[in-house]
Amino acid sequence: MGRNDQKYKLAQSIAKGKVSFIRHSIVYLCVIVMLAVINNVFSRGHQWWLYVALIWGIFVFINFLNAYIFRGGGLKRLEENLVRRELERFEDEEDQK
Amino acid sequence: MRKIRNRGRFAQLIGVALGMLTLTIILVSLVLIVSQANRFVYRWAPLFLWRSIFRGRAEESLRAAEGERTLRGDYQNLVVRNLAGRIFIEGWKEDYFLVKYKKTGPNLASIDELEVTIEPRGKSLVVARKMSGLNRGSVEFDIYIPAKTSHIAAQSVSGNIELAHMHERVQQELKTVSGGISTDRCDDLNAESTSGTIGFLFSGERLSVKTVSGSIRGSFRDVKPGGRMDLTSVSGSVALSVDEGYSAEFSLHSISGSIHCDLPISLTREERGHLEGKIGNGSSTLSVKTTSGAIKIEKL
Repeated sequence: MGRNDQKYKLAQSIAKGKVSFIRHSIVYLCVIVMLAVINNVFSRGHQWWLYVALIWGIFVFINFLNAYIFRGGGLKRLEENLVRRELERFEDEEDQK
Repeated sequence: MRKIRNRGRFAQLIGVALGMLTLTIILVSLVLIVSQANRFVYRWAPLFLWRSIFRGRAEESLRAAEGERTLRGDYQNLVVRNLAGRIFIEGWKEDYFLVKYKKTGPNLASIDELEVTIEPRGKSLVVARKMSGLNRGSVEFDIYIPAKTSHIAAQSVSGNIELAHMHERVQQELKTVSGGISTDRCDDLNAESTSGTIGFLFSGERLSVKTVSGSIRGSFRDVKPGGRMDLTSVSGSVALSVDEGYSAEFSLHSISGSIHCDLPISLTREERGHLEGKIGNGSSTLSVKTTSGAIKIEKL
């Protein structure tokens, strides 16, 4: 695999992450607004939609951090690093033999 | 190429904006959930009783807000509407109305939700607890009325209605679901309660008293001739005391309760659980119906 291919794949992965986040957050906003409306139309008392907004929001925000702050997936990079480290360990073991 | 870069920046900005919006929603939700926690504690109060037992000061969770208002005006009707809490109305010598209220609830938020309205409507003064929010907590009313008041309509769902030192010739309509009703003097009276005792001193022309599981204890003094008095109870007893000048054609029904009358009467019909006759010359009409309660009529 050429260096350009690798760069392209990384860029594609970052772009996919961002698009995935935008899609996720739009769905989140639409559903939360809908739940808030349902809650307040049928019973004005207990605001249960807030629990959904909070818990789901945390996941959406993690998605945001992954797509925009860690760029291309912090966990993916961690996985790649770990794979690389294991490969190096195998090579060291084979050298020792 | 520049166009593509600009589009990329736009997508980037949208993404960041959505991320910030999500973060804002999370924080706002968190704040609102925390502020809602008090309501949750109230709603599931039995689950949180250990807190008050542990602290030994359950009463401290109740906070009260009091207020009063003086109203000067030519109001002849008083209308009081409450949901939970006592309504106390007293006649006094002053020529103005004094309305005192005391709001009680599990926390400050619930007290803020309790809204009391005092508003004149023509010849009427309307004192009401406005229905809003979760309607938790209760409001107690102490209302002092001048002699010019000729009609009182008071209703509550859970709470006693008490009228004391009433002026002469005040017509009364008193209704509550769970609570007693008492009035120490009334002209025409229409009183209804589902589970409370009703007590009254009647000196008008029209009387209608209904209760389901409460008893009725009433006195008749100077009843106007030609009047009609209907008293109904399902499982409560009916005890009436009448003055010497009282006269009425009566009809007493009790399916499984006893019927007892201390007054000199002339019977026109006597059956098991049913008596008809006259007290005096029978100038008014008295009807008492009960299913399982006793009926007793005696001298005042």
